[in-house]
Amino acid sequence: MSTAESISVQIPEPKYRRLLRISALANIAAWIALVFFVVLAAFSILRQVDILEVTCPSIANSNDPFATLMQRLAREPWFAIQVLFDCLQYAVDGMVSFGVLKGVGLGLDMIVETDMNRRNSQTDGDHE
Amino acid sequence: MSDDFKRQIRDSFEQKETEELLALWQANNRAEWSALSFEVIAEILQDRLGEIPAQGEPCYELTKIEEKEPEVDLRDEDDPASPLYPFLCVENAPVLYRPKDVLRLERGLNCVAIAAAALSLIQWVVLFVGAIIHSHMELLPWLKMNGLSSLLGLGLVIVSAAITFVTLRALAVILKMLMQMEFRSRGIGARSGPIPS
Repeated sequence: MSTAESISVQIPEPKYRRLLRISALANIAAWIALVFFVVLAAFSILRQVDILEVTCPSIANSNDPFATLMQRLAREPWFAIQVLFDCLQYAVDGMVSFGVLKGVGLGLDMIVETDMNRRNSQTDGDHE
Repeated sequence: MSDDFKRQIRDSFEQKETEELLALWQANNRAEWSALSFEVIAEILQDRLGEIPAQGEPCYELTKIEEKEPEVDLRDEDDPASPLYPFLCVENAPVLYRPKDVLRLERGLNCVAIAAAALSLIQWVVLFVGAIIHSHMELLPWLKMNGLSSLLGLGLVIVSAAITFVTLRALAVILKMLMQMEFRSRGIGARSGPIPS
């Protein structure tokens, strides 16, 4: 199991195939989670526009809601910090989900490879 | 005590240089090494030197390990002088995963663990200060009104930050251990020593 050229390795055991399928799913889910949380971080800024329209209808300019938001961010630094940390929280949540799912995928790959190596060495020992 | 276990200990000590074994033998630290280990070291020294050297007074205190594992540049995988080379070179490369990905993810998880915990705490502080500012009240009356709930909130934040931190750090350690086990299942770890971080 230790040659790089054996990419088209045969995985005969169904349980190995099942684990590798879960690993592949975890890898895909990791990327989906990362993209999802990045989009969520972007939406958290848009949400501030909505909140602004509800809480401060007097200053909210419906023609250009972003300009209103930027004005408020510039005027109230504390509000800007809160918006920034909201965004950061989503970004970190995305990285946590990505790391955990990637870790699950890699962990399963390593478990399968370890078990296959052990079986191979046992088979080699039996033949000798 | 099975012979297998003794053989395993002997195999592990056989990897060490004579000077290193001699230092262990003379330090005679019984808190760190078992009687069986010293028995094995004596046998190896007898084989290598032809005699068993004098041993120091037994010591029963644990020595503090202060040396930190050196940081390894992951780009060095093609350099035979790199400590990572035995694990990453083509003839040892595993089929189903890339060791470099595991090492990179391990570092990433450690960083994200710290970032996530720190961000949770900072966010609580931001919300706390924001609530005081928006209430337009003095600090002490505000604390009298909302002190208990704020404290409860802080407790929850600390617990959840700790859970995230421990989970991610544990995952990083587990991944590295799995990789070491995988290498050992092919006999690479025994020849090359522990995988550098």
